[in-house]
Amino acid sequence: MPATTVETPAETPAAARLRDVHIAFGPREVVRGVDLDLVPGRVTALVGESGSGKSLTSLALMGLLPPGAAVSAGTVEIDGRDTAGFTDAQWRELRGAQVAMVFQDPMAALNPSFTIGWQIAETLRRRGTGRRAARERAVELMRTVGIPDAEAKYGAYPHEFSGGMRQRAVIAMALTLDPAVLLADEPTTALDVTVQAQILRLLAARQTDAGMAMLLVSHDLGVVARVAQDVAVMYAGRIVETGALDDVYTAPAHPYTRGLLDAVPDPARPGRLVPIDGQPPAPGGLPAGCAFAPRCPYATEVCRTEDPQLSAVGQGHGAACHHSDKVQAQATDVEAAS
Amino acid sequence: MSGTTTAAPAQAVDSPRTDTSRGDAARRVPVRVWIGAGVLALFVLAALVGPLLHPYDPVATDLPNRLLSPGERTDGGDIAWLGTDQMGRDLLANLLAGARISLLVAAATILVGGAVGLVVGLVSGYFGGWPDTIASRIGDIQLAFPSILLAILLAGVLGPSVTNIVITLAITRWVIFARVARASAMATRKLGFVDSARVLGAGHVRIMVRHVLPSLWQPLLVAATVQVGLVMVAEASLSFLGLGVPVDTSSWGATVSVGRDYLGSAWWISTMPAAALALVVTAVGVIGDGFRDASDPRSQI
Amino acid sequence: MGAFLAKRLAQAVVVAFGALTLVFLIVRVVPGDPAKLIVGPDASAEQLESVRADFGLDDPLWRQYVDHLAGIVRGDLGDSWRLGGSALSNTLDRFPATLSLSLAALVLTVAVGIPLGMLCARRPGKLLDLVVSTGSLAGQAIPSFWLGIVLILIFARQLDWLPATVDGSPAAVLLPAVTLSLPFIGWLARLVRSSALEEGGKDYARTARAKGVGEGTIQYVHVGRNIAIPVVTVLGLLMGNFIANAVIIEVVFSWPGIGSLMVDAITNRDYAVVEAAILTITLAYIVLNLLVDVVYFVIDPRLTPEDA
Repeated sequence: MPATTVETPAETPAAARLRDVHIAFGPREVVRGVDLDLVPGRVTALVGESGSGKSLTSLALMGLLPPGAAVSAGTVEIDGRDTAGFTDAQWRELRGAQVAMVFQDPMAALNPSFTIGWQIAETLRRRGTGRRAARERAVELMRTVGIPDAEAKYGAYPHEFSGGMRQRAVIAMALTLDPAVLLADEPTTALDVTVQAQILRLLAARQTDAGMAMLLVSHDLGVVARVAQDVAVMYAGRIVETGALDDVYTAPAHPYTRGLLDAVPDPARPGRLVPIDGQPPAPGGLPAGCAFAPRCPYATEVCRTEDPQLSAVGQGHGAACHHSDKVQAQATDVEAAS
Repeated sequence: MSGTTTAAPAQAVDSPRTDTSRGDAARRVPVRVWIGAGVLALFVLAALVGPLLHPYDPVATDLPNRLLSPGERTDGGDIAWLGTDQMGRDLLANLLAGARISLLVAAATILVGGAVGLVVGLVSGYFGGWPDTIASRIGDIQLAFPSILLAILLAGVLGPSVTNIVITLAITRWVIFARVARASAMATRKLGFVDSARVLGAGHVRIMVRHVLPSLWQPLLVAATVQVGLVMVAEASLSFLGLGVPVDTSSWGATVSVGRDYLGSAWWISTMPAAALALVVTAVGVIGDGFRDASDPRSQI
Repeated sequence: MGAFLAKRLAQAVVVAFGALTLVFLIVRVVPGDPAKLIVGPDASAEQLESVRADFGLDDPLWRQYVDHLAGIVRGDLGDSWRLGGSALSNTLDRFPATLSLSLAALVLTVAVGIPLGMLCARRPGKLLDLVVSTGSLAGQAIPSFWLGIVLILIFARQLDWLPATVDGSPAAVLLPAVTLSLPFIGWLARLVRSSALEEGGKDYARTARAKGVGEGTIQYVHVGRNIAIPVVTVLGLLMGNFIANAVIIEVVFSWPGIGSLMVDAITNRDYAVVEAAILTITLAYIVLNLLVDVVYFVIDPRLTPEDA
């Protein structure tokens, strides 16, 4: 457990907990030891480039890893129960009820051949709710997520909905059984810029009302900043920096986080868009030492030989970098200078 | 004659192939394709050389040796490897002669039907407009018409002969080749180099032959491998119905038909040619699959 | 929807018209002296003359064609010289037999092929899947006329379980229907399998899993509804194929349908019957294709008239 030095910022027990989770496609390890606590009432953002392992990490919480992928080490705990060796039936029991998921592309996530209402009600019907009650609850959920004229839209098919409305329907499906944990995998990426904000507001509002723990998976720090309280930054299958949103944003301690922040267009400081050079390493083709070293402006000899572990750089703030003090110092310099 | 009309749907099944990785198939030829190629090579060799080594006399009768089972010795001391038929003729010699007809009909049909389809498809795909409309409508009408009925009608009207069988089957097949050629020609027509050749003053015929034609070979070859098997089954089916080759000519389908009456006492007469046909058609099918996997998926229709 | 149907109907009429023109041309133009064909090879010169006059064979071709079309509109395709009576009514008498054989084959194909494909999709690459994919390849390569003969030998002659041809019992349809459907069972199973695998890999299946829905429900309800559309389309084509392919099976089993009638008529040069048979089967084929379009349209909620 490399994360012992970083305390979870939580007083309440976590609704879902990952400890040193490794996920592998056969011999290829794509997630290499992730610790994560999803705490009721808080939104944790999991940030990284595509291929960093963030989506796999969230799918592991549903027991829905793609064929060929498996949790090869570590524990995935949901509601205090270790899910290792869970049968299909046990997972089905959890899915929807304990952990629910909102997917990236609502058009693909919805079944084109069934009505929206049927798909929302199905979750209840499969758990024994009667037809009429399920329908009423589904319409109520559709109202809750802001689908206008819900009663009439119950019988509509996905192709009759707009992108934003579809995502609302997907959110309604996820909320059906009042799950303790809501996973949202790039919930706004496939949407129009104009509706992205609405969907984020909706997710945040539902999360606050229900006091859910939420994991927001995103590559977009701008999206994350609007809703999350905690941030975990993933790079090449590891969490390289974690902490409260404000701490991480104001004093990033990992050069990768810094790079991501610099790449966010900031209306206050135009012209400061600095993308990170280079490509993330392919899984299986990891360099010795720190995986970020080849792209890192701070890299020194030690970075190429020794793999840095996550260690505390502040209150509830950890980073896996040999030079985190330098990175933080420079960040404050820049802040001070500007 | 399931084969005649399975053509289009069978391709439909295979086209959304997600289970095999196309890239690997292009580089490595799978073992089953080699086996298929081996069977096909054996068939071609048997069809070409077999009848010379082991000639078949369709009018001979040798009653003492009739209905010998496979492996039995004739009173002349020869081994009848596949048995003898109701007239005492050696079944192996019959099959070799039938293989020659089968190969001849398949090759000639593909050549004739392919050539007609190529020309029609090339012209209609290249020029578009009314030649294309007319050719496409004729093709539509013909395809709306079960090909087996057309084949039976034509073969019945023309009368049994190898030439007529080839004409019949070529008429039922040309549309497939025309469609393949037309689609490729249209795709090539849209590429920039055709226009630049026009600008440089090249004539239509020259462009069609020099620039468009080369892009048609591969898809036509893939279509031909699929059609070979279907044509062989069609020939056997027509001969089975007595509408194919003349009675004094050996054909697998005709032999199956004759053997029907002896199935209880001499199963081999019907079964041997049917098995030979199934084997060759499967081999061709496997090779066709291999071809399709290996060729660029985008070049297919 | 009305406009869509009208368009398809117009296309069907054009195709039917083209088909009967093609048949007319083949029968009238290709085989030499039609009068000889009608009366038979032993006819005297006077007989030939009278037939020519009766059938208008001395008229120019276009005239004959127009008369022919007019005849078709009246439902008159000429008389059968062999069977006596109208060629069309002779043919239509045989139609129920062909239809029941094709329907039986369709029911068999669907009842076996779809569940088989679904089972294969549940465990791709496992034993059943391999057996089915190999079997479907073999099923399509084995000549159906031989298969029919073998089935007769085994189930009718040796085991004596089933009749080899019509004997008045409904079981008589079994052997020919099996022969007709066997090549297509494996084919349909593979189609269902590949569509189910493709659909099952889509995001909506994952969404259903995320809702806690079981694998069986996902495959048979969520995926099932989506593959119903391509499968229904194919069923219409299959039925058309069965009606056409029944020709050979009917000969093998002496089944009293249009197919055996037609082969009989062809070998006896009874062209009025041949034409009637071909037109009947082609029309059935076209109507089936039309039906498929309609059903397709009804079951796919995404299709709006503009898509058609």
